[in-house]
Amino acid sequence: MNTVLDAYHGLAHALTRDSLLLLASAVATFDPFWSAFDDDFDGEEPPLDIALRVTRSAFPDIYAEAVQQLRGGALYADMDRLLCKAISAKGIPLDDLDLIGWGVPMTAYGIDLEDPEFYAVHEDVLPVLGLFGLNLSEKDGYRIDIPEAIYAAGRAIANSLHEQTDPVLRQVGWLYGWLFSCTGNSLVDYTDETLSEIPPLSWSKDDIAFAIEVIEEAEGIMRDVQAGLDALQTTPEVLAVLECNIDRLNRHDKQGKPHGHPLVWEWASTLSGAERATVVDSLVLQLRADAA
Amino acid sequence: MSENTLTLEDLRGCLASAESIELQGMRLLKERPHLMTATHPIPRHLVVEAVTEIVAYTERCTAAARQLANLSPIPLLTISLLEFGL
Repeated sequence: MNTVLDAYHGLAHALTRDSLLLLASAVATFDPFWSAFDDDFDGEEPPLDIALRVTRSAFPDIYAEAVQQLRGGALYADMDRLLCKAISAKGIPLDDLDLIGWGVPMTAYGIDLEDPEFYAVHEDVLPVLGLFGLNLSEKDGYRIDIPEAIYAAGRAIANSLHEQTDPVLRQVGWLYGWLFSCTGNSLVDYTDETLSEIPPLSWSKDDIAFAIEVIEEAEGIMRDVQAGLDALQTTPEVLAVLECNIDRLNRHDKQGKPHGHPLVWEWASTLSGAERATVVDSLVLQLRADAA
Repeated sequence: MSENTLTLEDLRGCLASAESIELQGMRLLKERPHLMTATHPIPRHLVVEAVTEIVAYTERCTAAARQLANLSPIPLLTISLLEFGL
């Protein structure tokens, strides 16, 4: 046998015979970055260092893979691809390793109804908002003025729809929740601009777990938003029942019902068409009273 | 009051007699000493288990070392360590 290989094999076996050497060898093999990072972490470190630190603490499976790849001589570009793909698969959308120092990346789905640009991208919501009497096809200027009462009405509709058992009505409820920024999920309710004003979540274990939960919930809501929009476009009955309830809300508002007089919603069961759900909603009246 | 005497050798012996730790990564290395250049890679879940355990272990060691570094002096009233006598 080659002398060098012989020596290598001999040394490898010798390392396993002494428990202290074996421990040192195991640490060097499986956790080579165990002492590589300072306690003071300010996000200014090189992206790969941050990624190794983050994965070591929160995603040991990714860290294990990264260590293996680095040992195999992987280049920075390879590590960038590997780490972004693996971290994204955990539920955190990371497109570029260079962004990791900014904290946990998050995507805002929220919209600004008063921004004309929104309707250029989302012409499909015009009929939905048209039910409130908004004629947005003749918009001009830099901002659209939407009365506060419309927001209150949209939120009232969203809240009432969320209380329904019919899944289609609930999906339409999420659609209105998104349009009027009242889902309760920050990523769905905040625009990019609003989100950028909030300090990003850190890469601590707790923040990562929270981010994954918020992102997952937001993605679920946005799937429902799309399903609700599809339902409104393809099921005239849903649009009709919405129109009917918005009329009811407007009449109730115009009649100036005394505070405490409940508004009665009527939501048809859109899937079976058999049952009619009647909901007395005093909370909604409270919202309308607040808006007035 | 009788005074006990402890030599540095006794202290070293005491620490050395602590049972050595047995980690998954050590077992894997024992089974495959050439793990680092293994042509037959070990199953991924075993590596992940080993990494998770060793990360937790090294974290505990780092925390213990930090605590020891900041330990306040402890007066030994009943034991004499001759090598460290003032």
